[in-house]
Amino acid sequence: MALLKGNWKVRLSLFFGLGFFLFFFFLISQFGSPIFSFLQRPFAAVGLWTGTQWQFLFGEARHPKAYAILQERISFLARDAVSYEQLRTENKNLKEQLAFVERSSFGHVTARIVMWSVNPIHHRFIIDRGTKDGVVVGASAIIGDGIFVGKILEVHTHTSLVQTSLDPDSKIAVSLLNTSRTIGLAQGTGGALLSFEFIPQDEDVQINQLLVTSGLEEGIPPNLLVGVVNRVTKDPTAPFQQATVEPLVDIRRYGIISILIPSVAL
Amino acid sequence: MMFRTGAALIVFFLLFFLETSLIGFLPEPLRFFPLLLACSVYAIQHVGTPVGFWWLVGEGFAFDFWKIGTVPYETLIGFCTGFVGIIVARHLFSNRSLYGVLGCATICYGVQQALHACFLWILSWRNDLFVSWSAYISFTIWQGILLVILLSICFFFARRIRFFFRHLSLVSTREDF
Repeated sequence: MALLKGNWKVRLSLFFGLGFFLFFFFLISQFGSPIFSFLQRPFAAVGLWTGTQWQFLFGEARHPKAYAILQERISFLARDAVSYEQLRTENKNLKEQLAFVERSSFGHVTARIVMWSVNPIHHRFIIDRGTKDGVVVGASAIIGDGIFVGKILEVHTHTSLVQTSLDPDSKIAVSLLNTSRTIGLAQGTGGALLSFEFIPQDEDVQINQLLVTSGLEEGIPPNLLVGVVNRVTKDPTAPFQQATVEPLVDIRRYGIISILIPSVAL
Repeated sequence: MMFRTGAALIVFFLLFFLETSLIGFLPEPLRFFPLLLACSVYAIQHVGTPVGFWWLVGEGFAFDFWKIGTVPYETLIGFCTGFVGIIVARHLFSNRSLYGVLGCATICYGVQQALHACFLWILSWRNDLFVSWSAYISFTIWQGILLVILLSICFFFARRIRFFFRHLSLVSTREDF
C-alpha cells in the first residue's frame, strides 16, 4: 500500500497537500470571501429559478387540499388583520399624546444567500454580508416587511452564517397573537415545522393563530412573524401544552433577505 | 504540476459551488444530489486519479470552514471516505465496468454515512444536538439513489470525461497510487 509504506514522495505530497489546503483556506477567510460570494451568485440565481419552476410545476398545482387549507387560513388571518389595524391606529394616537420616545431602533442591510447546507440535520445558509456591513451575532434575518426566518450564528468580515428557525439548535423567544399574549419558546425540529414549547395548560391556543417574536431576546425586535399554529397537543397530565408551528414562508424560495441590526451596532 | 494543481482546484470549486449554491436551492429531494462525492469517486475509481481523494478532503474542509456540514468533523470523514475509495478502487473493483464504479461508490457512501451516523448519535446522546432520525434515514436513501443515477450518467459519458481529465492534465500516465 503505497500510501503507508516507505514511499517518501507520497508522504511528502500528502504533507504539502494538507499544508496547502490549510494555507489556501486561511487566504480565503482573509481575502477571498468577496470573490467567492461574487462567483457563487450566478449559481445561486440559477438554483433559485430552477427550484421556483419545479415548485410551480410539481408543487402547488398538485395539492388542491393544501390550497383549500391556505384559503381558510387567509380568511382567519384577514379577520385578525382588521382588528390589528384598528389597534395599531389607536396605539399610534395614544403614543403621540403621551409624547412616547422609542428607546431602541433597528437598521437593516440586505443580503444575498450564496450557499446552503446540504444535509437534513442543519438548516443554515451563508450570506454575503459580514462585520464590515455591521452584521452582528444574534441579529435577526427577515423576509419582506417582517417575517422572521432566522438569526446570525457566526460573522466573518465579508460573510455570515445564518441559522434558520427550523434548525434543531434554534430557539426563539416568541409569543402568540392572542388576548393574553402567551409567551414561550419556539424550537426548530430539523424538519419543516417548529415546536412551540412550555405553554401553560390554562392558555387558550387555537389552530391558525399567529406566532411572533416576543422581544425578550436581545437583538431580536418584537412582533416579527414567525409562523402559524398548525396543531395543538394538550395532555392534561403534563404541566405544559405544546403546539406545532408552520413557518409562513419557505426560505428556499428566496435569494435575498434583510438583516436587522441593533442601532448601537451601526 | 502547478497547472495540474490549479486545474484540480478550479474543478473542485466549480463542483462545490454547483452543489451548495445551485443544487442547495432546489426542493427536496433534488437538493440531496451528492455531486462532489459522485465526481470524486468517479475520478478515483474509473479515471484512476487520486485528485478525487483531495476533492473529498477539500469538501469536508470547506464544510467545516463554513460550518454547513452535518457534523463538525467533515474533514476527517472526507479523509476516511477518500482513503477507503482509493483502497477499494485499487484492490477490489475494476475500473472498466459500471458495476465496479457503483460498487466503489456504494462502499464509499456507506462509510461516509456510517461515520455521519456515529457522530450524530454521539452528539445526540450528549444532548448537544436534536437529531430527527426519520429525516436522516429518508435523506440517506434519497441521496444513495441520486448517487447511483449520477454515476450512471457519468459512466455513460465516460469517454468525454476521460478526455476532459486528460486535457486538464489531471490524469497521469503513471500509476499514482
